[in-house]
Amino acid sequence: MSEPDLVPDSPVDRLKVDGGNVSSLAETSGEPAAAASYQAKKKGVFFWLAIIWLAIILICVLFANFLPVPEIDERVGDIRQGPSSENLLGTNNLGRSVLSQCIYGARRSMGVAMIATLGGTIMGGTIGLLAGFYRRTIDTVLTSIVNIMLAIPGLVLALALVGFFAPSGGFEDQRFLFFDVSPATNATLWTAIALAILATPAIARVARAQTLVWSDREFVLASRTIGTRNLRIIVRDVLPNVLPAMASFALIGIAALVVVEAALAFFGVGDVTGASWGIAINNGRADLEDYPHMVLFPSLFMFLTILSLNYLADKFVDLSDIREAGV
Amino acid sequence: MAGSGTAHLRGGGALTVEHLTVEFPVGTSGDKVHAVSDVSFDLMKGETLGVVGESGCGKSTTGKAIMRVPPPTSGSVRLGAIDLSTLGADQLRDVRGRLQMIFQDPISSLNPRRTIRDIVAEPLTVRWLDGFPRYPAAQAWDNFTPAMLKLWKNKWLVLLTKIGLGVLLGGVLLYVVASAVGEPDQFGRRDGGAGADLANQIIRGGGLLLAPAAIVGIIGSAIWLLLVFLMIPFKIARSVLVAMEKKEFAKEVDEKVFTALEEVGIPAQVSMTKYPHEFSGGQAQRISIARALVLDPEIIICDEPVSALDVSVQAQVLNLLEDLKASRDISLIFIAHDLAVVKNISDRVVVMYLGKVCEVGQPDLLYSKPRHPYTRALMSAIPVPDPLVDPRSAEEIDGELPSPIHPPSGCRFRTRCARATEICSTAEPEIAEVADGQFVACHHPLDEKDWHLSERSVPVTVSSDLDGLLHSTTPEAPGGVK
Repeated sequence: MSEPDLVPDSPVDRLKVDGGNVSSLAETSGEPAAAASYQAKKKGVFFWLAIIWLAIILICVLFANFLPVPEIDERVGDIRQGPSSENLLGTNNLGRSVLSQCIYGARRSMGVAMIATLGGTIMGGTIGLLAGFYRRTIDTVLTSIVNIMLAIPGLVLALALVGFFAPSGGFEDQRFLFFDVSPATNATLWTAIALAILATPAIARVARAQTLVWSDREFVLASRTIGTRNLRIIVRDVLPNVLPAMASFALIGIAALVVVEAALAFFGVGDVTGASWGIAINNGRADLEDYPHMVLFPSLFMFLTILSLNYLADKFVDLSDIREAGV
Repeated sequence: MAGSGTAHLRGGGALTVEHLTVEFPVGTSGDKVHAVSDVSFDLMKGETLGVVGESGCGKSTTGKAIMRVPPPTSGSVRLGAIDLSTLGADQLRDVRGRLQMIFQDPISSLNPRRTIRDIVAEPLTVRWLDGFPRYPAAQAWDNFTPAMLKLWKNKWLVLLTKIGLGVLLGGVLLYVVASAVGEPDQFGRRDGGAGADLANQIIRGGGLLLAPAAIVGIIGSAIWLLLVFLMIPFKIARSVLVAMEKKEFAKEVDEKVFTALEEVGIPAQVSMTKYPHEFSGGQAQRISIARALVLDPEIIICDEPVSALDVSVQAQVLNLLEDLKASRDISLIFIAHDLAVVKNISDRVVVMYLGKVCEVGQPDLLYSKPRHPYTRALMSAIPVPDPLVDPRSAEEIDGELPSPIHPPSGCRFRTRCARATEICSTAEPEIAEVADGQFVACHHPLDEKDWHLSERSVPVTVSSDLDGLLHSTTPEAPGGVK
C-alpha cells in the first residue's frame, strides 16, 4: 500500500485489491510486507522452550542415576498417592515415584524410539529412493517386498521378532554382533530393531512417492545431460528434496513407536523389568479414572518431547530459508 | 508429409542426426508410441537450427534423444565425426561437455536445495570427480551388474524357470488331488497312494528345473552383497582423497562460475550463495544458460527456453543467446512452438509433424513461400500485429493430432490435409529439394498460386484514410521480440 492512489476507500475494496489476502487487512499501519516476512524468520519463544525441554530430556537420558530422585525400584510411600511435596508427581501402583519412572523411562523410550526411527528411515529411505528413482523391475520387486511387510500385522511381527531373538529370561551370555550384553539390554536392542523393521514400509512408501515426483523434475534431467552418475543424482538432487517429507513422517512415527514399545512390554516380550514411559502408562491404565496422575505425567513427558521434536523440525526447515520457488 | 530421407543433409556439420527414431513401449500390449520416426537433420558450425511443430510432435523428444536421455531406439547422432551411439558410458561422459541442453521450465531445472554456485559448478564438479580413479569394488560392480542382468534375462534360463514353475505347480496340484481322493486311515489321514508318490517325483523334478535359476540368483546376490560391503572402505578412502584436494578445486571453480554468471548478466558477487527461489524466471533461465556455458560447449540444445517466460524477458534471453552464439561460436538447436521467435533467431528451420520432418529451409522462405500444406497452416497461425487483419482469416487445420501409437499410413499429415489423395495413404513422401535450400516431404507440394493464402493481406474494403492512420502506428515486423 505504498502508493496512495491505490489505497481504496473501504476494507472490502482493500480486500479486492489485495486479491483477497486477509492478512494485509490487519497491517493497516502500513508496515512493508518484506519486513513481515523477515519477522517470521525470528526464532521465537517456543523455539527456545522446545530446545530447553529437549535438553532436559537429554539430561534425563544421560544422567538419570545422578539426579536427586528416588531409584526406580525404590518404594517411596503408599501406592497410588497423588502429587505431594514428598513425591512431586505422586506414586504408582507399586508405591514407586512416578517422577523417577518418567526420568528413567526417558532413557529406554527415547533410546528405542530414536534407534528404531533412525533405522527405519535409513532402510525405508533407501528402499523408497531406489524404487522411485530406478522404477521398472527394481520398483516392482521392492514395492512387493514393502507390501508384504505391510500385510503382516505390525505388532505380531514385532512380537515374533523380539520373542525369537531375545526370549525373556534368556541366558546370561547373550551377544549382539560382537558385544556381550545382558539379557535386558539385548531385549531392548532387539525391540529397537523390530520396531525399525516395523517403521520401514511406511517410510519407504513416503520416500518412493516423493522420489517419483522429484526425479521427474528437469533439474534431474539436467544432471543426467551433464553425465552425472545415478548415485550422485540420488544423493545430491533427489534426497535433499525427499528428506523433509520423510523426516516429518518419521518424527510423528516416534510417538507411535514409544507406544508400541510399551505394548511389547505389556505382552511380556522385550525388557519387561526396567522403566519406560510406555510401561508407566500401561501400569496406570487400569486406574485411569481414579488415579489419572499415573498416566498423565508419563504421557505429558512423551507428548512434550514429541511436540518439541516436531516443532523444531518445522522450524529448522523454515530457518534454512529453502523454499520451492513459486513459479 | 511424414518425410523420410536425407536429401536435405549438407554434410560436414557440427552435429548430424540421421534416421533418428524414438519409440516408447505402452503397457504390456506391445504397442509403441512412435514419438520420433526417422528424423534427419544437420547443424553447421555457428548456425541456429529452429525446430517447430505443434505440441506432441516430438520436438522435445528429438532434443532429449540427441542428449541420450533416454538414448534413441535407432538412428545415429554424430558430433563432428564421433558417433554418440558407439561410445561407452565413460567416453560419453567426456563428450557430454561439448553438448549441452537448456530446458523449458527455468525454475524446475534448478534444484531448490542447492546454491547457485553449486548448481552452476555441478558440471565442473562431476568432471573433476570423474578424474579420480574408480576404486576396484566400483569397477567390479560396473562390470558385474550388466553381466548378471544379461544372465538373468537369458532366454533359456527364463524358459527353464517358467517350465520349472509350471511343473512344480502341476505336481502340487496332483498331490492335493491324489490326497483328496485317497482312503482315510485309522487317524483320518488320507493317503494319496501312487498318485501322491508320482506327484512327489514331479515336484522334485520341478525343483531340479528351478535349480539353475536359484543358483544364479543366490550366487549373484551373494557377490552383490560382498561388493556393497567392499565398497564402503574404498568409498571412505576416496572421500578422504577428494576432501584433500577439494579446497584448491573450489577456488578454481569459484572463478569459473563467477565468469559464467557475469557473462549471462547475473550479478555473481551477490548471487553465488543464494537459492533458486530468490530469482525470477528470466534470471533462473540465465542461470541455466550459465550452467550450460561453464563447460565451454560447441552446441547448446534449447528446449523451448523462452516459452515459460514473459515476453519482455523472452527478448532478454533470446538476445543473450544471440550474443553468446556470436562471442563463443556456439551452434544452437532451438526447439520452440513460438514461430515468431524461431523466425527471428534461426538460420534454418525444420518443421515437424507427428515425429516426422515436413519441411526444411530458410525461415524467410518457409514464411513467405511455404511448400508444405502443414507449414502454410502453421505460418498463417502467427498472430499479425495489425488490427485490420481478421484473426479468423488464419488457416485452420481440421481434426486432432492422430495418435502416435497408431500413426496414419503413408504421409502422416494426410488425415488432416485438404490436398490428400490416394497416393498419400499408400506411399510415404521422401524429402526432396523444391527450391534452392528448401526441402519438402510432400506428394502435392504447394506452388506460387497457393502462396497468396498464406499472406494475411489487409482487407480492401477499408478506406484509405483509416488504413494509413492505423498503419502508421503498427509495428513493422510480426511478433517483433527483438
